[in-house]
Amino acid sequence: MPSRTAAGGRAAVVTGAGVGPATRRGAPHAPAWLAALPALVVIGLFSAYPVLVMVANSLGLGQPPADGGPTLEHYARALGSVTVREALLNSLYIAVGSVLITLCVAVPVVLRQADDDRAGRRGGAATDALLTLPIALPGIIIGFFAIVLTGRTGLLGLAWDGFSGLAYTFSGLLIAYLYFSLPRVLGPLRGAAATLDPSLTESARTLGASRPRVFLTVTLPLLLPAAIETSGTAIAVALGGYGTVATLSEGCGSCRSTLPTNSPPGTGSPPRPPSR
Amino acid sequence: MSTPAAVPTTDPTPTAVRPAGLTVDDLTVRYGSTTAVEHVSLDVAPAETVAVIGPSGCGKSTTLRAVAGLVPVAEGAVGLAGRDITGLSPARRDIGLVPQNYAVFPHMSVAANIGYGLRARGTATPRREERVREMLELTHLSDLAERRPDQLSGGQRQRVALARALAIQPDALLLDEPLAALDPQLRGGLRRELAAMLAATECATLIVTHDQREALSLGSRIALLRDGRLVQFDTPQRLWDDPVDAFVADFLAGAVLLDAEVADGHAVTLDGRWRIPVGDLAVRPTGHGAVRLLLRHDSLTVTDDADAAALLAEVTHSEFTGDGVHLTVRAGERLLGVRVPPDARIGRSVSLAVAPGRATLLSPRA
Repeated sequence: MPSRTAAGGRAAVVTGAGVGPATRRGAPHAPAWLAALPALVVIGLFSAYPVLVMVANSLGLGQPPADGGPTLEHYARALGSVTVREALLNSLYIAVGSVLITLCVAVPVVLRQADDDRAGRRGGAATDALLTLPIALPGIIIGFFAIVLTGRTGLLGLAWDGFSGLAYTFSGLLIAYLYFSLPRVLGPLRGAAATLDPSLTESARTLGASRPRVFLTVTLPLLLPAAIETSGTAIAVALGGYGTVATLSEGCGSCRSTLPTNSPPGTGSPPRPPSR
Repeated sequence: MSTPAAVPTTDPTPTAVRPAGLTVDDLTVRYGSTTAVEHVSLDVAPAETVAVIGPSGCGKSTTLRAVAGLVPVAEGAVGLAGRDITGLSPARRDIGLVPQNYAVFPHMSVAANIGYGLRARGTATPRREERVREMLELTHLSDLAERRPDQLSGGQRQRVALARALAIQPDALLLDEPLAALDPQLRGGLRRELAAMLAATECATLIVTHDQREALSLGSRIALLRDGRLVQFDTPQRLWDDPVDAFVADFLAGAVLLDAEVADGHAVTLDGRWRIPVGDLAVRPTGHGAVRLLLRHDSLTVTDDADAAALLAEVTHSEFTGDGVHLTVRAGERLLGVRVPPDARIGRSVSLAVAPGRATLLSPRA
């Protein structure tokens, strides 16, 4: 019976995409790609097609748009520009750097949580909520928090002078993005850690491996695929994260710019948030 | 079979002669407020195989994990090859562990799995490669050395785990439910294969299982646990012939053990409801105190003449077993098993008699 309802569900999806009613009846083994078709149509329409048109236009094929661009010349100018290149590099440094640091923070947490879950200890509901809270916060809020803590008159600055103004530096941005990326890495990584079989590490221990060795030769390699996948997504999100960096870059004129804040006005960049 | 009870604890040269194998002395393990294992004592001689058996939750796996150092010991001591290893880290115990699901490292080849412990111990490469080759041969895996674990069958994975555990030349080998993860059709052959490989090793082997056949065929002695306590620790033959109580008889042999008395040439049991001439019984000595009657599934027959030696019982269940029908009958409070031919006509109540010589009277004096 379950297989029948599954087939019905697939037929409904296919019909919804307008493929036609022919597949609905008398086709118990519809090809698998039919199920993927709606998603493929959306992706094709919204990413592949515009890119193809833009590439064609840049190469001088097809009909040029009314304003004559963008052409190869535009791209060359953009990539040759020092500010764009700097913004690109800054973005990459911050996104990759913050996600790498996030991973270092997240891996011990998820391993510990997986242990606790297996042992039936569920004391961590509050910790869970706290750790995943930042995912619900817009980047601007996170930037604001950073200013409250490490701004020129920030709370941490009262404790030690070195903290004041940190929010507007490269390290300050890195820390703000660490907070931004943490929940995006923790969630998926936790799922991967839960599937790690504890008897693997136990066996490795009885074979004579020290804890660090077990971590490096068993735990880490098994966690690596999930870590790469997760950090890929987190880096992409951090690269596009506009709010935090926009909020923080309001603080000083000479502040480093990143790609999202470097978009010149009039090219579809979001309006700048009000400065504090 | 028996090992010296006293283990020298102050032996400064452990590399010379290692007198004892594995000793578990008065072991108690607690998980929080629950006691999983209580005052269990065992010993396994070098090259001996001891099976620890019991129903699920009896503490047998916990015992094994305590020996491996994977759970903390609350009381008691674990000794291995003359050393006290109670507080030692699992990495320094020289114990080979084969977990229930084999825990073969999925990201390494068969050969790398087997060499893992040697690599961790810093064994020189030529020696390591030689040892891995030996282990591959012992476990008939030489052709699969470069395979990944996901390309192996369950039985092959078990052999990888065994080879990996043996490669470090452990003083003790621990196997947790070695055959439970395999198809029932394959278990018989793999059990014999496993027994052959274990016979080739020199280390003290502890096998945890819930399967009576596995315990009886693999263990040279069997420790039976219930509710975290050791019930009986003896050779398979003695457990089979002279169980300490009804639980042991039922769990290990599927037999029924009834309290009995001997009065003027008759064994009287079931509160005087059943009187059996002693001449119909095999009489054997017991080491466990009272007179008891041991009934196996072939000890009873259904009889037509309802004389004094017959027991009237009510049939509660019948089960076709291919070569016969297994009846479960109730006599008073007790449930007994009787096997009858498949074509037997059975009513709702039957008269039971012992098959001459098939039922055993365990008597302390005989």
